[in-house]
Amino acid sequence: MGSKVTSLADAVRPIPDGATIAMGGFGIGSGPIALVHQLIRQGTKNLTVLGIIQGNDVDLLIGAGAVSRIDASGVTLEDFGLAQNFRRAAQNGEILIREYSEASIYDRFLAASVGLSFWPTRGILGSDIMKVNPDLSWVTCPFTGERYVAMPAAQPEWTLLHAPFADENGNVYHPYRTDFAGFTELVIRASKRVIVSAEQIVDRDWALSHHRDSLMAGWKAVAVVEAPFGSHPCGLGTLYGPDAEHFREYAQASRDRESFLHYLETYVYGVRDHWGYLERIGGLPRLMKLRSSGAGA
Amino acid sequence: MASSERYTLEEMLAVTLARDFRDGERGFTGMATGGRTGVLIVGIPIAAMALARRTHAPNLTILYTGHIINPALEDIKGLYESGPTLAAVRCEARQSSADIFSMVERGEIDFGFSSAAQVDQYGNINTTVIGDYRRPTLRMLGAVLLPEHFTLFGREYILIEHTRRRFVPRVDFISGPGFIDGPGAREKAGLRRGGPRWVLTELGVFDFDQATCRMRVKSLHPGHTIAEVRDRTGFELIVPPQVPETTPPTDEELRLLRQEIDPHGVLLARA
Repeated sequence: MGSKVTSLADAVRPIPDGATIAMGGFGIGSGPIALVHQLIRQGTKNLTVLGIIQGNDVDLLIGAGAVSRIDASGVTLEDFGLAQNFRRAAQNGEILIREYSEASIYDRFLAASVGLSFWPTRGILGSDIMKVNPDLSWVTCPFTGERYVAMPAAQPEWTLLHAPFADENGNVYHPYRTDFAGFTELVIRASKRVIVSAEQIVDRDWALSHHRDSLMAGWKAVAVVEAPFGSHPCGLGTLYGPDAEHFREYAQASRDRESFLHYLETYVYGVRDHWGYLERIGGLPRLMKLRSSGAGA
Repeated sequence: MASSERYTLEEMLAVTLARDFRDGERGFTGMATGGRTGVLIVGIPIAAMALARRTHAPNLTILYTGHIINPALEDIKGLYESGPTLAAVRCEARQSSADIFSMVERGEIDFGFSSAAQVDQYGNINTTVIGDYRRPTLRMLGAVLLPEHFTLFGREYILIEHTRRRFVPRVDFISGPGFIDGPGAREKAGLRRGGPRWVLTELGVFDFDQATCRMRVKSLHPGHTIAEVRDRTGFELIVPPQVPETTPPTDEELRLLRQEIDPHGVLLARA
């Protein structure tokens, strides 16, 4: 098998307009931000994003006008407030939102992860999700007669994933995972294919001696990219913490469209690639500070 | 926030909650961002569960963010719950997200805690939109796990700031269903268990009248009046002829909270 290692631009290029994607991470933790930035740079449009609880990953894509629809239970910048691009797009009716609860959308990924086309649920009964989500239907249990809400499976065509280590075959290793990695593992199982970026690409010897840390076997990976600090400004597991200062700048910049376009110009369009981004945010001195704030912080 | 000289509001709420938990139950706190919401739906609940474990409910299980079973309280350094911070908290056991959703959907969680932008007279809560859903004046976070808090958990405690802006006649969006629009509505929607038990604020404790499903004054914290509650509530509350005072913490409960459970004031906002 040939190496899957490629450039950021080549890794993301096959994702077409109108694709259905998902992203590893949870909330503002461990997002695949280097890949997201590249998706914005290449100008992909009309994406459908499937997520459980999403953060700045999807907010960036929405702010760049790349998203036409999102299925999720929540979008948040957590301690840094509401996700402002999401908020504005929803208020202006610029994106289609399919409302779910956290457990029900989790179950939609579960359906896809075991090859089923739908999943029954009851956790959203009585909520207004039942009124505003036109994708919901009903199913009766053939054994007990109990009625459930039926939801379509959530199968991403492409999942963007950032992790600490990957080898050239796309095997992914995450010794720094936290409890929230379980969501990422589920999304990977539900996906058709995965584009991987990693802090470091490791050789076969390293891989063989770290198999117990594997997050994903390589057969689903279609591309592997080396992108140090590829989750910034998100933290990555316990390896490095979130860049609070940058998140505050992001939250401020995304309060209106004009200033967010300026943010994109500064940090996404105005830099050639991920290396340019790392320089723009302050280079190695800034990044090493984040690294020491990760584990045990 | 009002408090007496002997105890704080947060201590009063923790003690009130703790007395309502039973031995052997499993209580869940979700994700919260920092600030006041973190104190209301994570800090006070964790302190309350820890207090119950030290008094009448030694076998109560604390599910801190769901993942962390019976945490070492001294490891909780703040209420901002990012992955790396939580990863450093020692505990009796850790659960995966698959374990959590198994517990949630099998109905194995006895109670949870929530806050919201709005709560209404039937105990419905809203974290999704202000205004009309199609063109909201404010789009917020979304429903996250709140539907399940109100449909699959055994019961829910709502901790919320007591203002007219939050206490509205009818929420703009039902993220977590209380009694929906009155008697029989939960059953009609297919719900078989759970729902809001109490609403706890800086003014008092509120429950729901069985016949009408409307919010009722259960007790007032010392120093507060019905007039004050009415003034800060956007709908008509049921007010029984005799409204008791919320029973204040005992000296022993305060000692446990201050010396054993939360010596640095992280959970109960004394830091």
